[in-house]
Amino acid sequence: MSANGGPLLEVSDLHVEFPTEDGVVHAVDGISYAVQRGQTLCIVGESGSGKTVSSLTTLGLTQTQGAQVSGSITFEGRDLLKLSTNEMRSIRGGPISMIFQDPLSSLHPFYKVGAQLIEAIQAHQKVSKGAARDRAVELLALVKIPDPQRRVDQYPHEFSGGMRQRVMIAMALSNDPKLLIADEPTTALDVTVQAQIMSLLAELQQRLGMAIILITHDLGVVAEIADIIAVMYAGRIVEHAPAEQIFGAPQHPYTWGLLKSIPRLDTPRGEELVPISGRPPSLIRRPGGCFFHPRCPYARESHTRIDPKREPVPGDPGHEVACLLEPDLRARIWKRLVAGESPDVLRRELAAASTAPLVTTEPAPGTPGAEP
Amino acid sequence: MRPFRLTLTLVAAIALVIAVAACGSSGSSSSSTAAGSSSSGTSSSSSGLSLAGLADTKQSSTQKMGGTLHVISNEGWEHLDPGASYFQIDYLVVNAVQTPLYMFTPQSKIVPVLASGPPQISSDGKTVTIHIKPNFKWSPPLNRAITSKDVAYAFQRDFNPNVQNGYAAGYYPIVGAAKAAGKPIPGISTPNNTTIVFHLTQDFGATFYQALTLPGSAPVPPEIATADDKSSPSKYDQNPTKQAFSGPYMIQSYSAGRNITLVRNPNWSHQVDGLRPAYADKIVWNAGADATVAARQTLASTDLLMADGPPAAVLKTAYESKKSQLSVSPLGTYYASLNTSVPPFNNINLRKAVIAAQNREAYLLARGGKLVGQVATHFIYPEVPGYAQAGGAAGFGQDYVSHPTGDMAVATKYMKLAGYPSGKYTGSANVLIVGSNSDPGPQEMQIVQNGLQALGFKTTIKAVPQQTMYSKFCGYVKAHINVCPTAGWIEDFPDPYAALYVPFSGKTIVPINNVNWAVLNDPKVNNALDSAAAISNPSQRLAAFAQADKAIVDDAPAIPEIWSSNALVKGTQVHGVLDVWNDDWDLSFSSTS
Amino acid sequence: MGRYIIRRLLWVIVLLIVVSAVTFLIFYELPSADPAVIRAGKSPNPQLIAQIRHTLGLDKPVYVQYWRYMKQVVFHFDFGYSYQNSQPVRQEIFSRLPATISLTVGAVIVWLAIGLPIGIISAIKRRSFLDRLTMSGALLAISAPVYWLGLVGLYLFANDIGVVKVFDGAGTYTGLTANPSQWFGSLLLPWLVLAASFAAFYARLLRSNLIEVMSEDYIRTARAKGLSERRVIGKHAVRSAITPIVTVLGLDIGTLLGGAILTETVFNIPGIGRLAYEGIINADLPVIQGTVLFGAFFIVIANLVVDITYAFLDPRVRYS
Repeated sequence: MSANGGPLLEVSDLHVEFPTEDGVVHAVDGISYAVQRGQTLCIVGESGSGKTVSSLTTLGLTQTQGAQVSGSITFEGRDLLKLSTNEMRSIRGGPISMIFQDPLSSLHPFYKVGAQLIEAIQAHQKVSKGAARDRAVELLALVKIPDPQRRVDQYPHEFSGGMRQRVMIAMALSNDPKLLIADEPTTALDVTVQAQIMSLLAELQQRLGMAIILITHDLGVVAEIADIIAVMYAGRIVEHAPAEQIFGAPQHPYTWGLLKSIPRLDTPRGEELVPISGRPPSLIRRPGGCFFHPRCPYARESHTRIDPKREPVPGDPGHEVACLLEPDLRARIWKRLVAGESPDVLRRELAAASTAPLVTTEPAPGTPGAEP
Repeated sequence: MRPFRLTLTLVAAIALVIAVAACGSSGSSSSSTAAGSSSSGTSSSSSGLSLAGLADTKQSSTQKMGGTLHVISNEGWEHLDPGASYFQIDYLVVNAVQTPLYMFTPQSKIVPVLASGPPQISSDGKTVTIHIKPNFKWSPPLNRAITSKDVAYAFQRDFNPNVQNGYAAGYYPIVGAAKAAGKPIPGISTPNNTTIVFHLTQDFGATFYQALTLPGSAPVPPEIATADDKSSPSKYDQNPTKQAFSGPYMIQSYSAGRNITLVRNPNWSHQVDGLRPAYADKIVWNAGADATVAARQTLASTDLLMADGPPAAVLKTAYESKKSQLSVSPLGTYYASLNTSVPPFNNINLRKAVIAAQNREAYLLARGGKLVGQVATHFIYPEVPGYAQAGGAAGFGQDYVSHPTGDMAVATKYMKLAGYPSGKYTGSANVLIVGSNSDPGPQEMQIVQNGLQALGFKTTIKAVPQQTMYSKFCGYVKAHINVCPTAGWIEDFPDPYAALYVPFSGKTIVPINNVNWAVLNDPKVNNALDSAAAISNPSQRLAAFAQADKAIVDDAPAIPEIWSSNALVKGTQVHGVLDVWNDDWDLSFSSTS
Repeated sequence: MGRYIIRRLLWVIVLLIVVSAVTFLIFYELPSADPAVIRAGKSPNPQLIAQIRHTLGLDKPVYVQYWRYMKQVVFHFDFGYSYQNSQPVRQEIFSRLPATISLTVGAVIVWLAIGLPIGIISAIKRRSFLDRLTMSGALLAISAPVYWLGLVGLYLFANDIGVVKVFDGAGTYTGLTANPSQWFGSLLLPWLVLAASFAAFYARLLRSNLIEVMSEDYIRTARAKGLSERRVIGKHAVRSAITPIVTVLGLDIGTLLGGAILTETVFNIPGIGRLAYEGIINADLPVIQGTVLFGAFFIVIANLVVDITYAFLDPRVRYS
C-alpha cells in the first residue's frame, strides 16, 4: 500500500497538546520529519522537549491520556491518526515497535520473560503457544542472551539491567517491525553496557533492515548509528540534518550546547564541559519569540519577539535550522567554540560589536559570567 | 438472690437487677406479673402507673393443649443440673423438667408437688418429715418410681463441691451437711421409699419448707449421677439430655447458649403432679439473640415468648402501641446501704438525716421513670408476700422516708439529734461512695452525693465495674465502704425471709462476698428475723416479717431507692403465664393459644 | 521454602504461648470478678469458696495455673470447662466453628464479587459519574457500623420484622448439613451486612491500586505490544493491583474466623465471636482463653498463608 519510493514514516506539522488544570501543555508544537526504510533518525533533546511524546503519539499511546493531536503521521502511505483503535493496535508491536528507557520497570515483574514474549508474538501472529515459545527462544538468541532455552523461563528480576534491555529489544523485534522506536534505551544502564546495547541495535538494524528512531538526550551515543539527527527544544525541531553535518557544522546554539556537553576522550584535561545554562521553558506559558532565547548567550532583543522558522542552511543541503542569528555569524561562533573559547567571552564580544543590544538574559544560578 | 440476667452478678448481688436499664441488651429480666393482675395476691402494685391494657398473664380456662411453644432470649442457660441451677433463665427449664418437693404456683402459692402434702414440722422447728407421692416415675429410659432416696441424693449433691450449689449452705441448715462434701448427710434419713426426714441445726423448719421449692430439692437418681458427680465440675451438668427427668418435659436436645428443645415426658401425668398443666407438646427455645432484635421479633410474632426483658427503646414502643403484648410487674428493690459499722454512719441519727435529705424520686428518674418502678419506703417490696402487711406503698410512716423528694426540715431535726446543732455535718469523715460504673450507677452516686453535700459531708466517689463493686468493695467488709448506692436485691423465693434475712441479719455477715452491705448487726432486727423465720402459720409469719421490716427501717441502714418493675413481651396469640416469684414465664403453664 | 515454613510455624507456637500468657495475666491482674466467688452463691461460707477455688485450681499461683492449663492444651488438646455453664471449651469452640466459617466464607465471596468489579470499573471510568457514585457509596458503607447496618437490614428486609419481607430474619441460622437451603437463606442478609464495609474497602483499595498501576511502565509496554485494552487491564494491571489485596484479604479472613462478634450477635449466629463475647461478659476465663487462642491461631496462620501465597504471586519475593 505504500509507494516504495516514499519515506517509511512521515510526520507533518504534528501538534500534541494536553489540557490540564493549569492550562494547555504544548508538548509537541508542529514538528515534521521523515524516516526512510532502514534509516536511523535520532531525536535529541533534553527531557521535556517533546521527543518521547511525539513517538508515543506515533504509536497512538498519547491519545488515551487525553491528548489532542493534529497534523499527520503517515506510515507506509496510511495516516496513523485516522486509523481506528483496532487498526492502530495491529500497528503497535507489529510494523512499528518500541523499547523504553527503564528495562526493569518496563517488563511486568510477575510474568516470565518467555510469557511476555509469547504474548507479544501471539498478539500479532496466529501461531500456537509452542511455536511462539520457539520463536521467543530464537529472539533471545538473536539479542545475544546466553542460554536462551533456560532464560526464557526466568522472571525479569533474574536478569541484569543490560540483559533486560535485550529482552525488551527481543520483544520489540518479535513481529519483524519495519520501524523500531527506541526511547532512551541506554540511559538507565552502565556506560559499558550502553555501548553494547547500541552496537547490538546497529547490528540488528543491519541484519533486519529496519528503520530506527532513536530518542536520546545524549548526542554522544548517537554518533555511530544516526543517519539523520533532529534536535528538539520545547516541542519543536530546531535543527534537522544528516548526522555528519550536525557534528561537523552545527547551526543552532542549543545544538552547540548539547555538543559541548559530551565528554570526549580527546578533551584536554582540565577543560570543563560546558553545560547549557538555565532550564527548559514551561510548555504551558512559553516565552515569546525564539523559545530558546532565555537561555541563548547570543540572543538579541528582537529574538524575544520574532519566532524563527525552520529554514535550510545556505550552502548546506539537507540541513535545516530555526535560528535568528545570521548564518555567517553562527559559523564564526562555532569555530571559536570549537577552538575552546567560552560562550561567555563570545557573548561579551558580540555585545560590544553589535549595534543591536543583546538581551539581558535571566541567568541560571551559578552560570559563569551571567552577572551584569 | 439468685442470679438475674447477668450471671456474673451472681451472688451477691446479684443483686439486683443489675443495671437493668443500663445495658438494655443484657438485660435484666424479668418480671413478671402482670401488673394488671393484682389478683396475684402477693403483690399489690400501688404505683401510679396506668397499667390498663397490659397483657393478661394469668392462667385462663381457655388455654388449649398441644402445639409447640416458641421461646427466644438473649441470655443462654448456665446450669440445668437441678443441683447447680440458680438463675432465673435456668429455672424456666428446670421447673419444667424436674419436680422439687414443693413448688410455687404462678401466683406464689406454695403447693406440694413431689411431696404428697405439707411437711410435718416438729414443735422445735428442727425436724421436718415429708412424704412423697409413690407414683412419680423417672422419664425413659430409667422408668422406675422416684423414691425418697433420690431426694436424699439430691441434697447430698447440693453439698458436693463438684456440683457447686449456690444457696444450700444458706437455706438448708441440715445437721452434718456443711461437712458432708458429697458424702451422705447424717441429718437426712429415709425410713422408707416415700418418706424423708431432715434434722436441722436450728429452729428453721418453717423457712426450710419455703426453700424446698428451690430446684435443689428435686430428686436425682444416684445410679445416673454418682459417676458424673465424681468429676469436677460434675458432668451431670454438661449434657442435660442425659439426665433423668421428673417433670412434665424432657430435654431432647441442648446446645449451651444456643438452643434447647423440650418434649413431653411420657412417664409424667398431670393427675399425679396436681399442679402443672403442661399445655404444649413441645417447647423450642433459641437463646443468644440480640435483645433489641429479639424483642422486635417477639412483638411482630404470633407465637413467641421472650424470656428476658426488652431494651428500653423497644419497651417504650411496646408500651405505646402494643400493650396487649407487654407485661410490667414488680421485680426487686434498690437501696443505698449506709455502713452502720464505721463512722460517720454508725450514728443512727446521721443515717436518718441522710435518708431524709435524699431526693429519692431522682433514683426513679435515673432508671427510667414510672415504667420501671416506684419510690421505695421499706424493704419488703411489692412482689413479696408480706408487702401489704408492711404497709404497702406507704410503709410504716417514719418521717425520714415519707418525703420522696426529700425534706430538709426533717433532715435538720436528725442532724441536731446526731449532735450537729447547725444542721450541717462538721466532723472530719470523708464519705466514700462506691458504685457501678455502668449506667445508671454514676447518676445514682451523684444523687447520693448531692444529698450528702447538702448536709455538709465531704464525699469521694469511686466508680468500678459492677462485679468489682461487689467483690472488692461493697461485699468486702474490711473495705469499709460508707455508701453503696447501686446495689439491689431480688428474693430467691417468694417469702419475706428471702427478701430480708440475708441483706439485713447480722448473722449473715461474712468477710468476703458479704451481702449485708450496711453491715447491720442489730440484735433487735436479728431476733425479729429469726423468730419470724420460725413461724409456720402463713398470716402470723407475714405479720412477723412486717414487724422485722419495720425494725430494719427504724435502724435506717439504707436509703430505700426504688422498687423496680420489669417487663416481658410476647407474641400476639401465645398465652404466656408468668411466675410472679421468678419474674418470668412458666413454660408448664403457658400455651400456644 | 520448606525451612522457611518450619521456622514460621515455630514462631506461631511461640506467639500462641505469648498470647495465652498475656491473656492469663490480664485476667488475673485486672480481675472483673473472682470466678470462685461467682460460683459460690450468696453469703457463702468461706469453706465453700475455698472448695471451689481448689476445684477450679484458683488456689495455686498464677504460673502454676498457667502451666496446668498449657499442659492440658498441649498434651490433651483440652481447653478446660466453662466456669459459666460447665461445657468443655474445646467442644464449644468446635461446635461453633462451622457457623463462623459459613459466615466468613460467604461474606468473603460476596465482598469480592461486589468489591472487585466496582473497584476495576471505577478505576477505568475514573472521575465519571459512576465512579463518583460508587465511591461515595463505598465511603458510606465503610463508615456504617456493622451492628447498626445489621439492625437496619433486619428492620428493612427481614421476613419477620422488616418492612419489605425479603430475607430470613435473625436467629434462623441452621447448620449446612442440617438444612442447606435454610442455611443459605438465613445467611444471606448477614453475608451482605458483614460484606458491605469490606466490599467498600476493597473496591476503594483496588481502585487506587489500579490507578497507580496503570501509570507503570510495564502497562505502557503492554499497550505498545499491541495488546487489547481489555487484556492490558485484565491481565497486566489487575494482576499487579490485586496482589497487595491478597495480603489484606488473608488477614481479614483470619480475623473473621476468630469471630465476627457484632454480626454474629445481631443475627444470632452461634459462632466463635458470640462465644468470646459471652465469655468476656461472664468473666469466664477458660472460654476467653480458648477463643483468644483460636483467634490468635487463625490470625497467625492467615499471616503465614498470606506470606506463602505472596511468594507465589510475586516472583520477586522469595523466602529462604
